[in-house]
Amino acid sequence: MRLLVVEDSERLGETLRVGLRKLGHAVDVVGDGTRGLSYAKLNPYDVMILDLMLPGLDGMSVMRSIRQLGNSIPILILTARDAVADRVAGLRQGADDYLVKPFAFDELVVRIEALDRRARGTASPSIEVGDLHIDTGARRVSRSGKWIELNRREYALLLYLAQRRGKVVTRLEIEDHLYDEHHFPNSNVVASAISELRARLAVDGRPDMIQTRRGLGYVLEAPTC
Amino acid sequence: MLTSIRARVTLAACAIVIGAVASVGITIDVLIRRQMVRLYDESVAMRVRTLATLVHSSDAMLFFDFAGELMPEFERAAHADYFEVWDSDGDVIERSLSLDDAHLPRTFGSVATPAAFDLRLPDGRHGRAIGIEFDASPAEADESVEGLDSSLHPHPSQSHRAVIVVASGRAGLDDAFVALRRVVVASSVVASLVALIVTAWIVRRSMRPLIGLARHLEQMDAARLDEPLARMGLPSELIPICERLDDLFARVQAAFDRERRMTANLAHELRTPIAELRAATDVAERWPDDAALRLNAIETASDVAARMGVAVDALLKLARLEAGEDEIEGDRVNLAALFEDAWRPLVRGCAARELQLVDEIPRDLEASTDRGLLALVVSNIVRNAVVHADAPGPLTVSAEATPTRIRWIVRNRASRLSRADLPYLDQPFWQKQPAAPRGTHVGLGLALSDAILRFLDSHMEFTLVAGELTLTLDLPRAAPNAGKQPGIA
Repeated sequence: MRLLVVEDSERLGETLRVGLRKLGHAVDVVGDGTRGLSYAKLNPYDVMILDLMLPGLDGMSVMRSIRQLGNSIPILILTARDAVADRVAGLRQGADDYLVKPFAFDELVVRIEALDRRARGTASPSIEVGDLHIDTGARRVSRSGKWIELNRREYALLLYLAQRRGKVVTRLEIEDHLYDEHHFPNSNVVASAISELRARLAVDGRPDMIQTRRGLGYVLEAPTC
Repeated sequence: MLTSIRARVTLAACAIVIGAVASVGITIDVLIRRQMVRLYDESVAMRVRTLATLVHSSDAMLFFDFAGELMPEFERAAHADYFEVWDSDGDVIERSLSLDDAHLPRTFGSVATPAAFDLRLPDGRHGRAIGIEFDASPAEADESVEGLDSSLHPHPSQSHRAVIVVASGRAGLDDAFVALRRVVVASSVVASLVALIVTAWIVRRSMRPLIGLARHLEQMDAARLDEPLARMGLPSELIPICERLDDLFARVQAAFDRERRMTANLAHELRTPIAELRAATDVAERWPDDAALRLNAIETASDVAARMGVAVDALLKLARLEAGEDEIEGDRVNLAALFEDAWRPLVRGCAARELQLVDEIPRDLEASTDRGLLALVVSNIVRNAVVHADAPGPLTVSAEATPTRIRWIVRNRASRLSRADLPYLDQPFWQKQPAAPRGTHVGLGLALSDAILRFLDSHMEFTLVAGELTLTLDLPRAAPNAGKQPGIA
């Protein structure tokens, strides 16, 4: 997932960046509302984590502007404001979830994952593609009953493809969703990552699940034979 | 023991009304009794006078011309009346048959003012008697002693004066008295009951506004003390009380609001550092082998502790000043030097925010005040200006002086503020949405400054004109001819 964190506390923003990256997400962190809005306009984020009290442009204004642009990105408000009126206002203005500071990092993570699932129209935390099973809660992958060890980047790539199983995913889409502003991948990086993932999924000589559509992109689907 | 005003007033009013009714009843009873006795006495006196006309004198003889058949009440056996007639010497001339062997008291008055008195009648009844002394009328010519009928009871006498006493039973009068008393008592009781009811109703009606006010106060929402008390229908005596209560409640509510706002803002101010600390420790705990994360958690804990320390120090300073525990020193303080010291740590932050400092403070201007406390105030004000001013833009500091006072002025653009925000600028932890970047800043700066200035015989005020915020600090000026000292350390 590619996440946008709009948080004016530099320390908190940096901690979230490090923690969420360790989970395989691409994370952009900005410290004011104006930049938060422009980042949200420019990049296809999967989930936005938004503080309300921000310099420049406050969180509510950022959210209103995003919704007025027709952007339906899931937004999780992360704020110190805990009054019911604030929660109601936040959710009414277009937020999808509301978490009050201080918070547990694990809770933030599962809420982000739930928002992403909901945005894709799936409720289950597990994904089945043929004999491939992905448990997004435990972040574990198995094929034909055998566990597969993946690093965080490989897991993120597999999850991204699995969430769009049967559909062609372009290299650009992969770059947009798996790499944040601090990484500038070239075509070889994505191709190399796909190649490594194919190798990991090749369990007991099972057929390749990732197909290359030349000039278009990649498709993850259950083998036909 | 009666505790309510209504009960006390009702009881007192009822006691007064009952006392008044009883007094009136007793007075009526006494007056009517006297009148009845007077009428009774007059009726007996009439009979006395009638009997007196029957006593004649002639030639040193008194004789009584009484015909029993005309006045049978003096001769009947039961419930009879009595009379007795004496000459001036006290010798009995005549007496009624009903007296038998008994005598009446020879008590008398004049014809005009007869003696009237109560007595016990010979048959044992209570009676009333009237006695007069009178001059017997001369006998007619044909009633000479010689020609007198023996039934006229002639009596020799040297005088023409005679005394007659007539007594009659007063049972009828006493019965009338009893009936009268019953009527008076019954009337008094009824009048008292009516008075009680009416009094209670009047008191209740009169007390209704007070009771309504008490009920309103009793049911007041402690969270909404600023709602004014209703004045509709209140008597004029209660309106000043209502006005005073409204004023006091408004002050209490304002104090509550200020306290609540400070508590809420304090809680909010502390949430972000706690969130930073918790997120850092959560992430470090999740990947315990990652040394960088552990270091980040430690650094975050240290940073948060430092910020909490600043907040606690500021709160303690504020509390000590408000409790009068900090002493004020009298120093000569060079304002330009003081500002330079306060500005030095903020140069980088100012540059990062692209704020242009315009320093117009006269170099030789000195205030007479506590150097340490004023340094804290100036530092807080300048730090707030750097954090909150619109950037990029100018930040101007200047000073104006009169012979006794100095006005130290800080101006900056503040487009997010409105005039309605100005009263809150010196409230502890108050923040205008959206918040400024926090860093090590806590929302106590201006609140602390305001509290310090109160103890320095100074004050600050804010004005906002066309998006430009001006903070003016009024300070006592040091006497120009006094011995000069170097600027602040």
